[in-house]
Amino acid sequence: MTQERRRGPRRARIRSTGPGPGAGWDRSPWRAAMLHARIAMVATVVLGQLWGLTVALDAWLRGETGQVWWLLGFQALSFLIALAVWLTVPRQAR
Amino acid sequence: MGEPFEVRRRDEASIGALLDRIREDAPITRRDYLRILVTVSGGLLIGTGVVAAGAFRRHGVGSAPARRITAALQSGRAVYFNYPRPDDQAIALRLFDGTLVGYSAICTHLACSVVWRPDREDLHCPCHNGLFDATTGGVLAGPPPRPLQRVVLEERPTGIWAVGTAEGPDGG
Repeated sequence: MTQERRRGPRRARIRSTGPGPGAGWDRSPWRAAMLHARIAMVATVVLGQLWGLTVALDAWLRGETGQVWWLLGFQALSFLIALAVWLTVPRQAR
Repeated sequence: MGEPFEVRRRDEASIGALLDRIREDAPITRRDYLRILVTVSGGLLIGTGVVAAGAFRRHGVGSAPARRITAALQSGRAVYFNYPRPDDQAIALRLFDGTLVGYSAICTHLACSVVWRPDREDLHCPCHNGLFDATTGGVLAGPPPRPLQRVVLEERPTGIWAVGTAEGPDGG
């Protein structure tokens, strides 16, 4: 047994179980960066929409229904932007 | 010649277990987050559309046939009635100068019932201390965002009648 170990190829000693080196890291960091950027953009749009809904409710409570229609347009535009960011995948990220 | 059946079945079982573990470790991927955010965006658009379309009904708004409220109303006295719908509480007031006015008795803040205070000549909402001008229905103080809806009253030989509704003095 000892003779066989000395003759064999030198191998790294396994000290612990678990994923190997590099596990959990993105293999394509540029693709991950683009995905993170898209998520951040849509999250920002959604935050703006939350603000818009708050203002719309406030305007409705004050009875200013005209302002609510303008805010509906803002919400529609925001949704279209979010949809475009979701559906449009940059070439480098494919 | 393929692998022995036992070996192949063991491999398939281990691959299946590995896939199960991966699914448990990452139930939502980053792409799922993006999809969920876009769905939330669409939901907010629909929510604003519901508000704009007027899905939430205001109290005291609408029309109804003329309705007799009471035979007479003395100075400084008030009478509650329901108009234009059975669940729309309204109030008719005879102010001290003899003017007859009518309003929706539902506070425009959180829909509590307003109370006529003859000693101060105002309409008071006891829930959050909202104050309305008894002469115009406009907001004097407190959190109400718009004036009280007006109820148009008429004095006829048969008594006091509610004949319609109108917007408040500030366009509310």
